[in-house]
Amino acid sequence: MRREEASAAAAAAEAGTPRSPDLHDLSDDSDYAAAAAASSSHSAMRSDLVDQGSGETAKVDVVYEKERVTIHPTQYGSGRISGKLRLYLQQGSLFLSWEPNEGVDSLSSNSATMEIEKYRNLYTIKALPLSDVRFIRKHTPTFGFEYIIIVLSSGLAFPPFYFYNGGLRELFATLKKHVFIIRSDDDPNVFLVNDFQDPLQKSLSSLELPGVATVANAMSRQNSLSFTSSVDEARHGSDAKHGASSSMTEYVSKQKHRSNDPGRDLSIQVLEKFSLVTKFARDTTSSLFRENHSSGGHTYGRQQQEYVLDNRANDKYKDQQITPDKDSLLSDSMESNKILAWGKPREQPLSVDEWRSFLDPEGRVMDSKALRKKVFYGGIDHVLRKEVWKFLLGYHEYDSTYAEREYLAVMKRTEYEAIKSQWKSISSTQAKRFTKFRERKGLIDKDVVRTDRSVPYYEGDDNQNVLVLRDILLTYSFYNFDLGYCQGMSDFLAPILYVMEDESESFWCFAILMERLGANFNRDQNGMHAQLLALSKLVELLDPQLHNYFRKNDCLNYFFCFRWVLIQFKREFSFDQIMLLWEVLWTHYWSEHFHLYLCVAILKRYRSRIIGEQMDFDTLLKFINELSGEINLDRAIQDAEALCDQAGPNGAACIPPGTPPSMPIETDGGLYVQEDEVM
Amino acid sequence: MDSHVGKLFDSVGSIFRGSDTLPWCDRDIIAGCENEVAEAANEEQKNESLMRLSWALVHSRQPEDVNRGIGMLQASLDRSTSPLQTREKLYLLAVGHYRTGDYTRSRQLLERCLEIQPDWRQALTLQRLVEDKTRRDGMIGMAIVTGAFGLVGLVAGGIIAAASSSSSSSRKK
Repeated sequence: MRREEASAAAAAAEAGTPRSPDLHDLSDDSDYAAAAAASSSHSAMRSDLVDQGSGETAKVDVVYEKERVTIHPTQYGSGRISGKLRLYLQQGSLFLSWEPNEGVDSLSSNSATMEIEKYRNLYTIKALPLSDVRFIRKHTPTFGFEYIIIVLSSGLAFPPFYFYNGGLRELFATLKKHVFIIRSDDDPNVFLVNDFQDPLQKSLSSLELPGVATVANAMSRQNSLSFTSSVDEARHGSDAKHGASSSMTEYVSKQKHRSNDPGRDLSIQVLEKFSLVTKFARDTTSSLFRENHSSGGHTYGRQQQEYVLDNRANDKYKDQQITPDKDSLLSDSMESNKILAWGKPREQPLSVDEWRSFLDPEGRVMDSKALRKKVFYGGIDHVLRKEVWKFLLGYHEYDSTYAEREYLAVMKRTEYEAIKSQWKSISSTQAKRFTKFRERKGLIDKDVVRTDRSVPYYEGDDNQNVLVLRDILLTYSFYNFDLGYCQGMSDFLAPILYVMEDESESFWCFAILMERLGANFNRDQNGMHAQLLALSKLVELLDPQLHNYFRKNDCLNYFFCFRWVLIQFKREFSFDQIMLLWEVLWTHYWSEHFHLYLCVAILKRYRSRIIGEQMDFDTLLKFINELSGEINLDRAIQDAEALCDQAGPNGAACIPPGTPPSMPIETDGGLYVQEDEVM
Repeated sequence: MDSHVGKLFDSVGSIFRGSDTLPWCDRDIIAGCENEVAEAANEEQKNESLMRLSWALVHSRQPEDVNRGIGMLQASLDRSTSPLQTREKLYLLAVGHYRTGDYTRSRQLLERCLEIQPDWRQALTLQRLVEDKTRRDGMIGMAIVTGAFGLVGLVAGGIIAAASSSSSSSRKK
C-alpha cells in the first residue's frame, strides 16, 4: 500500500500535476484507517487535519477516500475530469462528496477548457447525504474499467464514476458498515440503499418480468467465463442449455395464461439465450480492443493511449457523418421526385352535405377518424368552421348530441361571465394597487391594436371586435393567472374569434388550445426547447446532409424556426391560409406534431438555396423571415405528409414525451412556473 | 495474440454491424438536458426535465449513459402519476435495455407497455426491432457456440443448431 502511494505520487509528478503535502498526509491517514481498524487517537488526528484543511466547525470523520475517480462528460479524452471521492461521517450521518482536481489534466484549447470548467462545476458533489441515495449500480466488466452509477430518490443519477485506481470493493465494504445496503434480487449489480420497505423491489416486481432473475444470473455467470478457453466454452454451452430449460419451465407456466403462439415464442426464447452469447462476444471484443491500447506503460502513457483511442472513436463518428452525405447527394433528385409523388393531392373542403353525412340523427359524429381525414386532406368550407372547429379543438366531444351541446353552451356562457366579472369589477382605485393586472392589461391593449388589422373584421378605429378580442384575452389572463398573457396569444385568438363570432365560445376554444400550446409561452422556454430539439432530431433523421450543414454552421439550435413553432406559422401565411393550416394541424390525423414535419418540409424545399448560398445563422434567419408570404401551403402540406409517412414510428421516437402540443405530462404541482414570490 | 484479436475484432465486428433506426443522442443534447435539470425552478419543472434527460440518456451512444438512464427510470417508476406516464417510462426502459443488448427484459417491458396501450405504434415497432435483433443475434450466437465462422458456416451452423434445439425442446415436452 505504501509503495503504491509512492508510485502514484511519482506518476502524478511525471504527469505534471503537483500534489499538496497536506493532501498527501491526509490521504495516507485515510488509507491507513480504511486498511485497518482505526484507533481513537488516529481518528482524533484525522479530524484535526480535516478541520484545519476545510475550516469547518463541525467534526468530520472521513471513512473512505479515493483519488482518480473520473467522469467522462464529453466523448474526448481531454474532457475527462479526475477527482477525489470521499465518504465521511458528520453528526451521525454518512455523506458522500466528489471534488474535481485543480486545473485540467491535459493541454486544451481555451474553448474546451471553459467547457470542461463548466462541467466541473456542474458535477461537483459537495455533501450528499446517503439517505438521499436510492440505489447504486456497479459495473465491473471482465475487461475495461469499473464504474458506478449513483441514483437518487428524486430520480436523478450522477454521471458514471470510473475507478481507474481500483477501490470499488473497499467503497462497498465501507458503505455496508455505515448504512443499510442490500443487493437487489432482480439485478445482482444493483445495491439498494436505506431500502427498508423494498419499494424498488416492489416496483420491479410489479413489472411482472418472468425469468429476469434467471437471465441476470446467466449474464453474471457468463461474465466470469474466458472466451478463449475451450473447456469454459463447453461449460458455457451447458449453461446456455440449462438456462433455456429453466426459462422454458417458467414460460410453460405462463403460456396458458397468455395464449400466444407456442412455436413462435419458444423460438424467441431459445434465440434470446443464444443472443447472450453474441452479446458476450461483442462486449469482450470491444473490451479487448480497448485493453490492448491501454496496457503497458506508466500512468501518463496510459492517458495518452486513452486519448488516442478516443480520437479514433471520434474519427469513426466523423466517418458516420460523411457516409450519409454521399447517399443524400446521390439520391437527392430521386428523393425530391418521390416526395412529389408520395404526397396525396389536396381535396375539396368539407361541404355541408358531407358534414351532415358524418352526423347521426341526434347529432353525434359517427366516425371521427374519417372526419379528421377529410379535414386533413381538404380543410373545411368556411360556413362550417364555426361548428367543426369546436370538435377539432375538443370543446365538443365527438359523441355529444345536439341537445348536450346546447346545454353546454348555456353553462359555459354563464361560467365565462363569472370569470370575466373578476376583472370587470376591479375599480380604477383598486387597479392602482394591482400591478400585475395593470401590466397585463397594458400588454393586451398594445397587442390587440396590432393584431390582424388588415383583416376587415378587425380593421379601423373603434372596432367592436377588437374590444371583444381584448376582453377575451384579459379574461383568460384571470382564468389562467399563473400563465397570464404573453405576446403571441392574440395571434392564436384572432382567427378563433373571427370564426366563432361569439365571445364565450371563442374564449373556451382558445382556452382549450392553450392547454396544448401554453407551454410555448412558459418563461423558462421549456416547451419551445422541446419542440426545437425534436425538430433537430427530425431533420437529422430525414435529411442528414442538411443537418450536417447546420452543425457546421452553428445553426443546430434551430432558433431560426422559433417564430414558425411559437405561433404555428401565423406570420408566414395569409389569414385564410392560416385557418386552413390550423384545422389541418388540429386533426392530429398523422401526428400531434405535424407542424414539425411542416418545418422540415419547408427547410428541405429550400435546402439547395440554404446550402448553395452557404448561409450562416444571421443570413439564414433573415432568409427564413423573408419567406413570409412566399411559401406554397398546399405543396408544403403534401411534402410534410410524405415526410411524416417516411419517418413513421422513428419520427415519433425522435420527439420526447410531453413535447407541445401533446398534453402536458401530469404532475402533482401547479401547471405553470411561479416566477415571483408568493409573499 | 494481437493479430488474433485484430482478426477476431474484424470478423465479429463485421457480423455485428447492422442498421438501427432508433434515434441517437450525442453528449451535447445530454449536457443540455443536464443543465435544464440543474436550473429547474420548481418540482414540476424538474420532473419534466428529468424525463427529458432520461429520454436522452437511453438514446445515447455510450453504454454507461444508457445504464444511467435506466437507473433514473427505475428509481422514478413507482412515482408515476398516470398510466400514460408509466407507459412512457416503460417504453424508455425498453429502449435502454434494447441498447444494452438485454432483449429479454426489453421484450417483457414492451409487453407491459402494450398492456397499457395495445395499439401504440412506437412500442409495436420497437417490439419488432427487438424480435429481429434477437433472431439475428441468436443465430450468431448459435454459430459461435458451434465454432463456425464465415457466411456458409454461419448459415449451416444456425440451421443445424436451431433444428437440434427444437428437437430437444420437443423431446422434453
